[in-house]
Amino acid sequence: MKLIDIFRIAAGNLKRNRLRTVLTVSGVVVGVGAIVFLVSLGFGLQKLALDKIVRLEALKVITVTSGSKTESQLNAGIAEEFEKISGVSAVSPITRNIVSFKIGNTETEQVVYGVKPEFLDMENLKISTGQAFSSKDAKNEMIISKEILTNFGLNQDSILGKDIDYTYAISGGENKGTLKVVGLFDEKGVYAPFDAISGNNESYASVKVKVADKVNVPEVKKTIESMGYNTSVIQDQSAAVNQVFSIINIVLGGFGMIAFFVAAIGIFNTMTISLLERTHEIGVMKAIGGNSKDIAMIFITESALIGFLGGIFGLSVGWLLGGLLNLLVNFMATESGGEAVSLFAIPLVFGILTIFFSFLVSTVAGIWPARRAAKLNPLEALRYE
Amino acid sequence: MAKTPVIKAINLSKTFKLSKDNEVIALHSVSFEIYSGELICFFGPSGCGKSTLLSMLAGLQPPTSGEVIVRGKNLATLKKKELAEYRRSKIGMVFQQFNLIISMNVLENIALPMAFGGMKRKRRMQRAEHLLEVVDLGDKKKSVPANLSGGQQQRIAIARSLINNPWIIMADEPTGNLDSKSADDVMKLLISLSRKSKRTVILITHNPDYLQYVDRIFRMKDGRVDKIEVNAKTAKVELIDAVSKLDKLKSDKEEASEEDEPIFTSEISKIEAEKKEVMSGKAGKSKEKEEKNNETD
Ligand SMILES: Nc1ncnc2c1ncn2[C@@H]1O[C@H](COP(=O)(O)OP(=O)(O)OP(=O)(O)O)[C@@H](O)[C@H]1O
Ligand SMILES: [Mg+2]
Repeated sequence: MKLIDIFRIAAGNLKRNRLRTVLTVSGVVVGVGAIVFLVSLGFGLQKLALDKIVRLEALKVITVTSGSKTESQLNAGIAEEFEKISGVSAVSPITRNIVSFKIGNTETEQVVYGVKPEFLDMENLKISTGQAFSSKDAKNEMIISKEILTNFGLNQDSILGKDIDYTYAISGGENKGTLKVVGLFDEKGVYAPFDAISGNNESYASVKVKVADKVNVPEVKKTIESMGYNTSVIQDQSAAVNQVFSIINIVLGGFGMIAFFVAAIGIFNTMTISLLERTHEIGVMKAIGGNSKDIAMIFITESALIGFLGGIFGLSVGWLLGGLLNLLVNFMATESGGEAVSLFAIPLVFGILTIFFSFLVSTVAGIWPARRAAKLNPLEALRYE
Repeated sequence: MAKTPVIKAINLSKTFKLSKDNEVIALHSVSFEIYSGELICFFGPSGCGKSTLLSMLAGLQPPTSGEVIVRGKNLATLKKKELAEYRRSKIGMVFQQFNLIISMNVLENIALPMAFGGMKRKRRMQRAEHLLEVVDLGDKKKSVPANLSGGQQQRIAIARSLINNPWIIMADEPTGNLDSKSADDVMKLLISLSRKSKRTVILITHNPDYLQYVDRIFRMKDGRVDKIEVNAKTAKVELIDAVSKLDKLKSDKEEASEEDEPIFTSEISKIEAEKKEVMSGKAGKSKEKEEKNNETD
């Protein structure tokens, strides 16, 4: 028998029992939809996390912190040594000081990081109002977190461009000066140029080492580690993120799988009932010359079709549901001043794989009924009901 | 071409084991020969083994012992696939309950055995349409079985049995579910199929009224063929002679058919001419069409 004719008969049988077919396909749609919805949520969150982490420039930066040994302190001398390592293009120490600010009568204490202005982008800060440091030689500027505006008793518009007095303790005295607020950002903290705020600091909180070419990062990292310091690079984190999300995706997909497994049982059930109902008809088909293989193929094709249809509709439903939820979340996010994000992502390959998977499992679910159908006795045709 | 019987049954027996020490012997060592073009009827009381016998001739179940030889080929030697092929293209089955596939329309039903044979749809449909005309239901192309009367459904089933142009038509009580008018139509159709070509027709019926139209009656009782009667009304004296001569020669199989068969078949065609009144006008009409089709036999 030609495949197209097997297909025609199978489709005809599905049409004959329309309600049952629709219900069985619906089961598959729910299963596939659940998998697609949940896993695309996993993929979406993963992408979101990676986007946040991975910046091209940021990937060239090694963050060095002091090691456990007391002699491996981070200071100016060490920073110079880092600069000598081949492949390193720039080094920026970061200091951390508690600084007290004064505006009129209001006084507040904040953690201030001293950074080289050109290294600001390494910190992954997005200036949301105003701007970053005006030049790499800027000295009396700072950018601050929106969160601490209230501590200054000012709002966004009035604080920009404002000079603020500061003092902080150094060994044997204190440093004083003014810093002008040039930009605001969402994350926590206050950043000021290294030269302004850290002139007398002996040890650094951390040192950022920028490598000219990304491929040299592991090598430079190793060298620094061999000097007794701890290092971290963003690549490490993205690998960890990927690892975490691959587990999350498996767990989410596993939940979907349960629904899909139930659907597969539904297919099996439908095909078995169909077999019992059609015992006589199959007997007739065999009596008038259908061979066992054709009969089996008709059954297999029916269950494969159910899986295929369920796969396509399930993918669409899961995708639509994710899209709708995305719209809703983004609507609420932008309403409350947040950023629009994409929570759901379905990689094309995953979509195709899902349909294929659904098709495959349904086909397998049809094998047993198909084999039984193929073995039916053609004498059934003579049996009188 | 050496002339052999179309079907030869040799010591066919069938025993059904119902339980460990309870079995039914449905057939007791039955032997006979059926020749090309014959219209044969198995006749006997309910339970005498008619359906069992026919199903073994059709290759629907194997005998417990004995052999069925169709055109020189022992059915027992056929593989499963070959057996399906045999049922598809050498045999046309007609059942008491019509047995049409309800999810298919009339044309698809008729063409189904051809589809099993892997024939192209266009060709199948052409042939199915032609056969629909032959059974005089040309206006029902798009119908589905559920919308047809019993008689119409049975005619569709007969058209289906003809689709692969088989050697033998086997019909197990084809009129059993029909009112007398439809039953007559169906019988006329089967008789005309037998008359207009050398197509062999094997029939099971409970209605003695139809016996007058058949060539030979195999009277069965308790799993045995009791008596083979040659119908004096349809067969000429020469035919009766020929058949009895054949029966005598049965033991001597090699010689049997070579010279006798031509007499036999020529007689059939004579009878055919004489039996025109049996067939209604439409049967005659369909005869010409059918003959064009019968290139193989
Ligand atoms: N599958 C089977 N299992 C057990 N016994 C069977 C089976 N098929 C037939 N028989 C028995 O074999 C005998 C012959 O049955 P069969 O159906 O051939 O009779 P029949 O002549 O066709 O009867 P009817 O005219 O009622 O159709 C019966 O006694 C029946 O009960
Ligand atoms: Mg019977």
